[in-house]
Amino acid sequence: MVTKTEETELNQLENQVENGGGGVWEYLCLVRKLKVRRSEIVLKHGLSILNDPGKRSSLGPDEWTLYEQVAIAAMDCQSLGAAQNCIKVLQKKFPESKRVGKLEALLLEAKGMWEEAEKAYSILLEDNPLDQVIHKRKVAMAKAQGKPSLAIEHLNKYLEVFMADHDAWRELAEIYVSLQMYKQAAFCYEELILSQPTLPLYHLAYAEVLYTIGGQENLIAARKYYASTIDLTGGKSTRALFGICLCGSAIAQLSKGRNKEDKDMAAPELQSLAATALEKEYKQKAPAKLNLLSSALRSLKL
Amino acid sequence: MDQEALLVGKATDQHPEKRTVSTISCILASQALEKLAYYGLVPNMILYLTVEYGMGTTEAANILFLWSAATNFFPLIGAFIADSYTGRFPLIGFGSSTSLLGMLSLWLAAMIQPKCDKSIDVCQPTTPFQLLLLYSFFTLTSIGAGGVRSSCLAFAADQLQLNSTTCISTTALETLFNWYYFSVMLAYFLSESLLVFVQTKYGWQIGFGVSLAVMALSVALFFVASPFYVKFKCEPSLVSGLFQVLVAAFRNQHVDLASEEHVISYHHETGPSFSIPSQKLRYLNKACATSNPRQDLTLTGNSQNPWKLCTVQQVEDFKSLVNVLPIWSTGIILSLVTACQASFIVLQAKAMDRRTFIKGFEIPPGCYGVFMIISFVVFLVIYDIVVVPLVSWALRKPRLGVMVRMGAGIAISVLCISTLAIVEYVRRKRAREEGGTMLSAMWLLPYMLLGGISEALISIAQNEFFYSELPKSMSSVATTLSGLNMAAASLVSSWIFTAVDTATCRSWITEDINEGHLDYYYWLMTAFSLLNVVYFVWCSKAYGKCKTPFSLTRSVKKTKPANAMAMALRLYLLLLVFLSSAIVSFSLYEDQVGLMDWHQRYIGKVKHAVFHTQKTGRKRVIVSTEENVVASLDLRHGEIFWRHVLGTKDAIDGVDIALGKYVITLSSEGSMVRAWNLPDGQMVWETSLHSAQHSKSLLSVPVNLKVDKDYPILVFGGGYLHAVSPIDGEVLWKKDFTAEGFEVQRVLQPLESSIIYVLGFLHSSEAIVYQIDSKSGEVVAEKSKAFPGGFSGEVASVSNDKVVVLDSTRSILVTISFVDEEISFQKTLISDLVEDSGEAEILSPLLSNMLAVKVNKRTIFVRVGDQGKLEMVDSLSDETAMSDSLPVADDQVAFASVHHEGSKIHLTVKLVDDLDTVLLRESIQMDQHRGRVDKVFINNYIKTDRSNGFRALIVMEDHSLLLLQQGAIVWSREEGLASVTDVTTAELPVEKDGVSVAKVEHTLVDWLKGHILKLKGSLLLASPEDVVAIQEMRMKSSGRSKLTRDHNGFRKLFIALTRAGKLYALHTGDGRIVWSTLLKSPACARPSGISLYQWQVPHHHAMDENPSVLVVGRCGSDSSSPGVLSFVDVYTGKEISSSDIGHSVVQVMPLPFTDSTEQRLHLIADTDGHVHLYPKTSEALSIFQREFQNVYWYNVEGDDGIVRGHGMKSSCSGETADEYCFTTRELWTVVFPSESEKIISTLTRKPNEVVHTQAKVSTDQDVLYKYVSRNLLFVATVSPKGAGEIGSVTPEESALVVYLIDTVTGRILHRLSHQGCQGPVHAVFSENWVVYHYFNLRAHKYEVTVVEIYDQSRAENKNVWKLVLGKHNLTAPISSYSRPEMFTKSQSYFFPQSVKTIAVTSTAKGITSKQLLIGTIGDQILALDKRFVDPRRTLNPSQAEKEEGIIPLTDSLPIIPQSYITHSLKVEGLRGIVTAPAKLESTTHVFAYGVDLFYTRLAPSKTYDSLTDDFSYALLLITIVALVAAIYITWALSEKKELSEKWR
Repeated sequence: MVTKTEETELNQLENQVENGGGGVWEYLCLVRKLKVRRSEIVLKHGLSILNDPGKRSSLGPDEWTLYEQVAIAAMDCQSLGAAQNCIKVLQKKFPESKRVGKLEALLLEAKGMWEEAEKAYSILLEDNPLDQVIHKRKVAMAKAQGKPSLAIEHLNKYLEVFMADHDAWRELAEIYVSLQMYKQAAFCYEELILSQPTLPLYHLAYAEVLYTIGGQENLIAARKYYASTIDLTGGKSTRALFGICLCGSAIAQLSKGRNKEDKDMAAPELQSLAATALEKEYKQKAPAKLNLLSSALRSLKL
Repeated sequence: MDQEALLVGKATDQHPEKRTVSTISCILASQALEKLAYYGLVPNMILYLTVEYGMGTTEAANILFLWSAATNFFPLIGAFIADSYTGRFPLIGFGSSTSLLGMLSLWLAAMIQPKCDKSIDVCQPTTPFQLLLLYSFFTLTSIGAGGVRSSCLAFAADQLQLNSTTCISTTALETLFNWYYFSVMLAYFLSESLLVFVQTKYGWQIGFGVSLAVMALSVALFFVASPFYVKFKCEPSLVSGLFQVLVAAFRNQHVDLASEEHVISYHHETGPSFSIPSQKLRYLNKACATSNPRQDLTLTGNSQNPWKLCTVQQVEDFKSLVNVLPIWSTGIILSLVTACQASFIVLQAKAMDRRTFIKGFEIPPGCYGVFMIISFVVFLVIYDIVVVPLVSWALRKPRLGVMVRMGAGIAISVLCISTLAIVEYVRRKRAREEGGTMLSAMWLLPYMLLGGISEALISIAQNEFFYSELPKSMSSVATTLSGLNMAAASLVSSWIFTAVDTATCRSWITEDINEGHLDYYYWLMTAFSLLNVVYFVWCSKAYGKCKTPFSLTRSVKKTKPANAMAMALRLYLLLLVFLSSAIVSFSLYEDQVGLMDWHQRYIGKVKHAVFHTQKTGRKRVIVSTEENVVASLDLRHGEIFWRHVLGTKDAIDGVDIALGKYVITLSSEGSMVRAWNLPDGQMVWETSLHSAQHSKSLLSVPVNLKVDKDYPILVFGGGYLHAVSPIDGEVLWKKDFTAEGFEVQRVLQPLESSIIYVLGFLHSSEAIVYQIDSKSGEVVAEKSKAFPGGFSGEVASVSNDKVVVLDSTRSILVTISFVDEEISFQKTLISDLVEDSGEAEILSPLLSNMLAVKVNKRTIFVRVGDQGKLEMVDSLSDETAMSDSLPVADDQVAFASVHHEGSKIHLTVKLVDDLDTVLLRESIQMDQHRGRVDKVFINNYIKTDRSNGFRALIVMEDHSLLLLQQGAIVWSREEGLASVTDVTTAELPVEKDGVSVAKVEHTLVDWLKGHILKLKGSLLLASPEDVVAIQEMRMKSSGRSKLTRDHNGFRKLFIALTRAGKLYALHTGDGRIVWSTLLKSPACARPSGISLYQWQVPHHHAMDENPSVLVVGRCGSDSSSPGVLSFVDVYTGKEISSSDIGHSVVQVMPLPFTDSTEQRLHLIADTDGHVHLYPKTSEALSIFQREFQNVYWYNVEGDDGIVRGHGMKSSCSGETADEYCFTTRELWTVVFPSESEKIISTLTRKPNEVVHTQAKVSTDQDVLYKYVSRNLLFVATVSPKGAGEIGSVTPEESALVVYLIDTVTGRILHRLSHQGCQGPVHAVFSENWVVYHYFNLRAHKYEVTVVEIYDQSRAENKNVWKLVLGKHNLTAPISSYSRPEMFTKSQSYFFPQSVKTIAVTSTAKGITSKQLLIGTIGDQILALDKRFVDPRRTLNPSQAEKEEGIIPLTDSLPIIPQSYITHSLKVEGLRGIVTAPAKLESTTHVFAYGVDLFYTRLAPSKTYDSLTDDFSYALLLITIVALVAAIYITWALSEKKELSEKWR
């Protein structure tokens, strides 16, 4: 995660670098450290360092890291020639290196030579079957090729081994959602909530998936997760507030004509409270749209 | 031959079935036949050349040497040619054809050989054509050998392979190599036996014809199979490619392989293999890196310039060659063990019993090498037929690995050489101990068998290894590599041989192997072999896996083995460096002897001298001296040929030469006769004679020129006359003359007479003559006649029938003739002869018919007439020394006299009969400091003009010995130094500015010469003379003999006072005499020296005042005779002043005060109990007056057993007294009971000793305060009975008591008694301890006891609280009068040796630990660490005590041979050891004196404060540089490692 101070520092440096004020290497280091995506700037300034033998040799062993960084940035910017040059240098230096091998495969990927890249990755995986990055690359490749089912397959395989990788879970969930495989997506979100129960985003997303699936039980559960989201965010999640309202309305529709006993006793109160909160928020932040809100809420029979 | 070759690739034009075993057997057979033909010629070639061509041995040997050298060298060239240009088949074809041609020419030469007519022994001269044929034979065969041998094996191996892409199975390869060696060995065997036999039996023509035929067969065989051979095209430029790699790598060295500057593409031949050169030996990769492919490569992808850009393949080939080198090097030692010992084996075999079970057949010693060949061959067969199947069955592997076999070979070589060493050890021992019996030579067989096996294992395995590891294209080189091993081994062996020879001073390897230590040499070889095993294991580990079959494509090896390989290479280089530097370290020690120490040999003042100049050989003089030395000196140079120092009680009374070959000495008052071999001084016999009473001893050796008649030696001594056979020392007869009052005066034996006359006086008033038969010892007649006046006892024998004696009044000379019937006296008044007569004295020289009488300081010569009539013929007024008379030609007798005149001495030789005839008159300038001439011995020689020449040996007053000849001093010996009585040290002058003492003005040539010499020395090429020169140079450059002070205080002067009253200054650097001076005194002619004191040691005035010493002497021998003081300048040796002090000298006490000129105050006590202050100046007096009350002194009256202490009382009163004389009062006396105790030894501390610390802190923080007082006296007493010799009393009767007495108060501080112990006591007193040595009668051993005294009164200061609260007594004045609270610790140990003297080392600040210097009975000096005589030693010291350095208690003190500081030298007649500190704290000077002088520097705690003289600063610098480099390299490596780890 990039903290506030780091971000300001990064921006400051970026400003300085862009205006020719020096500190290029520090900036590049910081970018690498924070893993932010500033490919164009990195490519521009990284190449300038690499093309200057004096500057380059003063880096010592970090020179090679820079090559790698620039290569990746170049691929990001689709300047494949530069990337290729960098990778070539690295390959000469480290002829048997896996890391360079990955870069090479990445380059193939960038060129769109999917099969070659696939082959390269599988060779690399032979040597080290537990390389996370390669697995992820394969997923990314599948996604890029527009083969979500393949991506799902790869991800599943990956998650069998690396179950704690929540980013992968989230990715998987999102793919499932995009394929409208909500049940599977829900499962993924459950995993995510289990692993990081305090993160309101997962609760929200889960609630939404549940809401989308529909059905009384799911709606109730969705409402619960919306509520927990509100709880976790301190009532600041507008989306969750809406969600509660929507859930309430949907449940009410579903339970029309049923027994009173079946009805959720706390529901109307929750719903109205959420509506009040929403109105209040709108009143504060966007008074112009208050009417719109009121009409929407009204349509939900509140 | 089970391999089935497959056919693919290039060899498409051939069919697999053709290539069968037959081609290989053809090649092998052809090769074997070539060997057979060639080696059949070698052994007899030298005979052929010398006999048939009339060449000299040297010429022939040289030709043969060149031939063999060429034959051995050409294969390497051939291999390269084969591999890179021609290919193998053509080369072998060419080679064998050439050889055949050579043989043909030899045969032709033999056929047209000029027939020698044996009867007239004249051969026709050889025609140029014949010589041409002969030389072409040599040239052609060696070129041919180069062709055949280089490629044959490789070619045979080629047959097993199909093309370069497949691989040969190792099994097949191994079999091939085995059979190859088998065939070669068989060929050797046959040629050395069969062909040689044919040649000797049937003549040259047929012999050479056979060789030719065999060779022709070989060629034919080879070409017959030619259609079936597999022939590979050679790689066009393989070998030059190797060099190209090196050159290209060097030229491309600027290429940075890691940089992206030039995008480097490695150049490789167009081919499928995607190859990047491997990372090991990465530097070489530069050879194949190009920065600009377009420019450097041609269109076809070939290199434009192969010397600038090589292919990857080339580089990899070269790398593989470099990589096998460590493994290759392991074979060297093995070859060393097996092959290079041949000459020693022959020597050994020669000294062994070579008989066999066949009667009368002895194996010639040279033939034992055959056994190794046999073993080799037999092992190969057994291995291939038995071992291989067994192994493959047992291990489930087809074959043993190459490395395993090599390792086994090397391991067996260790066994092999150790058996040889054992055999040699046993053989040598037996030969030396049992003499004739010889060990059977069959014992050499184990060595031979094992050697053959190991050779078989390794050579085949190595060949296989090289063949498979090196690229295919280099296989010829591969097969010659193992042969190269042999060459390297012979190089190394000659080198080791030289090194060993030099390092052991030719004591291991000698002409006569019984003398030498060949076994040590073999053990050395064993050690090398063992190291080789380790080295091999390591190398093979480092090499990693060998190539497995069927994987010829060079896979890039893993990084780890590559690293290890590089390490192996480095180790190999390191090993080379180490070996080459090892010799340098061998040669260091030899030089160090004599660098710090020196030893001078003396003999003492000469008493008798006998010349031995008859023989034409070495002219020598035999002397006996007052130091009881009998020695043989070189008359030319005065060097000692040999000498023997007899015991102190074994005074020599007479010396003579008997039978012309024995030196006879009579010693111990005539009770010991010894004969020494004249040339070498070995004792021939020794006879102890019976003696009953003290009497004169006389030795009479007959001068018999006829050898067949052996007259006995007549010895009179102890009241008996003995006749001793000169041959074996047997006592022939003895005659008793022990009658009461009878004194034998002369024993005379006229020449050619069998009667011996013994003349003696009974009660000094009656002359008795006995006539004794010399054969039986019977008394034939006895005559006696009373002389009323009585005799004084001085006798001069003038002829064989007369003696002249002096009567008791010393005024009448009486001539006694005794041969006639009656003894007749004839008196002559001396006053009749001389005018002013007084008391007369007969002088000792033996003159015939004449005698010399000293009357009133005049010497008169009195001739004895026929009738006993005396007449004076001459008189000399001077004090003159005379020699005995010496027969010269024509029955004349001459004598020499020497008298002084000014600074010259005059040597005169006159005829006795006619004093006016002067045969020789010479005057020689003489050093004044030698004093007067004391004795003269002359000897004559015949000059070329047939006149008589004379040489005179003179003994001077200062005991020096000089040889005068032809008016010059030929040589001189400073024999005064044999009787040193006191020694002190003195500093040398300070080096002043502008005064360059050492002149080191080298020319460039000198400088170069010196460096070449040094280089020679370090390369072990130096001859003995060179070594001497190098040492001299080193001495010169070390500047140790400069006459100035040095920084470390190593250069000093030792001032030695001798018994003759001469003062010598010896330089510590080389022991030379810097100056010498003879003491003079106005009062008496020759004062005797007593002792030496430092008089003035200027510190503040060091630049302008010279230090001086005080020499205290005495006129006369009595202790009450007046003393003489002499002050001598130390720098110049000049006597500053000398004074007669007019009072006697009993004791000299240096006081601890100096006056303003830094002269030390001295008190001299006289016999009257007065003390006198010196220097006699008012300043000194005022200083003394100030301290008057605090001056105490003591004296020891040993005979009475009293020690007295004195204090100052007042000035003297009396007419002679001056103000510097003081009376004393007696303060205390310690009287030892005379019936039970007798003082035998007293000792105090050295006054100038420095004590560094007063406290001794042990590890447990306990502090012991040393009781360090200058006023301590150590006294040892024994029971009066026990004062005699050791063992003369029973243990009950004797007791030894030691005391420590305070000399100010007379308080006895400590008393320790040893029951049953006895003197003599030798003690040393230093700091707070005394160590003394005595004899324990109960244990029958010598003992050493240490007593240490500690101060108890200050012990409580340990309490910190007391210190803080001020209750300590540290500031309290220390006084002898305060009651001492002290305790002692003591401990006794056995000491295995008798001791002559003990001293202790002394250093400048006293910090360095002490060593006891013990002068042993063997006249050597032993340095014993003080820690061994520490009374705190316990049986089981605690850990803390151990840390403190306390040694566990043992009952006896160890004598470690290495701690003899005299090494192997002896300080004969050792009397004293003096130590003096150098300026450097760690170092002390040690000077030992006796008959010999010895000096060395000691560092008891090692030289912790200085670097040695030969400290190598270069090495230090190199080490630092290497360290820095290593740090940098490791840093770079770790950096690289980290990077590669990151980028893995």
